[in-house]
Amino acid sequence: MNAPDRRIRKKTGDSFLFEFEGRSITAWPGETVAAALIASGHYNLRTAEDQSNRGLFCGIGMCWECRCVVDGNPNTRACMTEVKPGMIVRRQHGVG
Amino acid sequence: MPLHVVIVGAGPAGMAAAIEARRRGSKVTLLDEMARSGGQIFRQSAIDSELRVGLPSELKRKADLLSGFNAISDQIDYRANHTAYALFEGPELHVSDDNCSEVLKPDVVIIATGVCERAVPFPGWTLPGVVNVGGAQTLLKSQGVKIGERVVIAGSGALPIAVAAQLSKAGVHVVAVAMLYPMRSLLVHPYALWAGRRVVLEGFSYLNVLRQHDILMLSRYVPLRADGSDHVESVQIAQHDGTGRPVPGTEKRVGCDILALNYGFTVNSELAAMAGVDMTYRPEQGGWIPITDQFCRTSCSGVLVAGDSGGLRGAWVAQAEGRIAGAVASRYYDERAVSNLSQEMSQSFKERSRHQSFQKAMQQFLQLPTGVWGWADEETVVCRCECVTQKQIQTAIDNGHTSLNAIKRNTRAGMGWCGGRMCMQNVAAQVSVGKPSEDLQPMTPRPVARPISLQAIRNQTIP
Ligand SMILES: Cc1cc2nc3c(=O)[nH]c(=O)nc-3n(C[C@H](O)[C@H](O)[C@H](O)COP(=O)(O)OP(=O)(O)OC[C@H]3O[C@@H](n4cnc5c(N)ncnc54)[C@H](O)[C@@H]3O)c2cc1C
Ligand code: FES
Repeated sequence: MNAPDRRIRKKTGDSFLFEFEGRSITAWPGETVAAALIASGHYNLRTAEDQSNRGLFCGIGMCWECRCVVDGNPNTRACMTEVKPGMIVRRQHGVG
Repeated sequence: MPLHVVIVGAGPAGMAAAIEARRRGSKVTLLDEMARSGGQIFRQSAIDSELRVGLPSELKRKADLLSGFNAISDQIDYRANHTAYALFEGPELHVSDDNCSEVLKPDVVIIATGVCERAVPFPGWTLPGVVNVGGAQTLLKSQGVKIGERVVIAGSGALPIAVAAQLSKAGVHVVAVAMLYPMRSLLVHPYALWAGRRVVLEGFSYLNVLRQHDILMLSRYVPLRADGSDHVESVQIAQHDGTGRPVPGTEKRVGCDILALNYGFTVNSELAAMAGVDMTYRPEQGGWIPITDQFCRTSCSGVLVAGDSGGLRGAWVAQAEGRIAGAVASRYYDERAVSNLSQEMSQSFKERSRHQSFQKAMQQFLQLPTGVWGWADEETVVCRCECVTQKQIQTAIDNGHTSLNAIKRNTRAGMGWCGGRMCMQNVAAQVSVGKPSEDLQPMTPRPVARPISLQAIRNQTIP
């Protein structure tokens, strides 16, 4: 199955790759981690302390539901963090 | 000596305040935790300057305000990516970016921090793919990304309708829009409709878009549960009985990959609360609201509040009020000059009160009927950060812990990363079922209103 692309306009310019849970994901400069993940159909960003899955919720940096581990730093908000080439993003488990 | 005015929040209120205060000769510092100015409604795209989401009239308002702001932005100290995390008497404002923090001691602080969205808990509302309506909008506006392919929207008020239209226009299949109340109840407020006619016309245009896209509009519907394994796959909705309680036998299951919710707002008033500003509890306006006079002044010397952070008022009021606050701040310690402003700026004062009467009429949609507090079952998580369930909170209440501080101490609800922003109004509603809520005190705000990095605290500059 092809990964979906939910960008509303075909992107021009140079794309790059970053990693999410060991998979390579395409992104464009200026995108947030959350936008690049959702654009390719990934919603499940973390497991909370009660083992439930969580993802983007408020989308504006207020709820901290989208916190994941970015380049080894836990509690990084996917919706507020600009994605960079080669970034390594992991789902956060509990306190990270 | 010109006064030093620090404004927190670069939305319509904060930008208008900055323009006005600068025009009147003040030294202005404007900070916002976002990378770009514009606030929630006029958010700018980070990646595609050609991206246009919204109606032509709205885009024109945005362009006008942004160009007014750009004309002065090099005459002020504008700091993007800066968070204000504490405010004390003085006023003394603590701000930080990722690496450094600083203590500012200006003459006046204007709080223009806006609101965040509110949702009501029900089974499945923590599943990935269940989001806030404005979050879906933000992803579209600032990132040019469709939140999903098949979206169900549930909520109340104007924002769900606007966003449903914006998503449809962008090519998202909006499967259904389930509204708490029928919009026609606005018709009993002819004056308010006239006063808010510009917004009403925008509302009609959005409804028109929904009609053109043949979108299923359901009034008096509520969500019962969201289901899916690691991501929402369907939502069950039902008609309600007028008080928010689902009517048995009316359930429908709708397949979707996103469920977007909005049941009103929570004002970002924690800086005001921390400074000791007198507050009042008004759920339909966004929870704990700082009390202000007509000049945006609070009970705390040197602290003003403008725009939605003073209670949900909409962008028109925010902009007019921002102008007023900017002018008042520049003359803050000259009582006569301040009282003259109501004459001098009568246009802004008039505009504010006209739009406020429309907003008052709109608030009926954000008055949540008591039945909505029965949507959660015992196992439903109410505090998302600390995974505190409805039952745990109820147990604390039954054990006599009826203040929010006591519930927080006993259950950890409100202690997590969001600072209680997402759950406190819902906990307050659970406490006050069947009781008047005016005397409910907010949780005592902690000195760090927003999580900031330890490194930033270590690298602190104090004047
Ligand atoms: C997600 C969302 C989407 C919305 N979309 C619409 C819409 O499409 N149409 C509409 O009419 N209304 C919309 N609203 C309502 C909106 O609040 C107002 O219409 C309008 O934006 C209010 O302007 P404001 O200047 O008062 O606040 P805002 O525009 O909310 O601006 C507040 C600013 O303060 C910043 N801020 C907050 N706290 C801090 C802090 N501690 N430190 C630093 N910066 C801080 C925020 O980053 C933000 O940029 C939306 C609200 C939300 C939450
Ligand atoms: S989704 Fe709420 S902070 Fe990122």
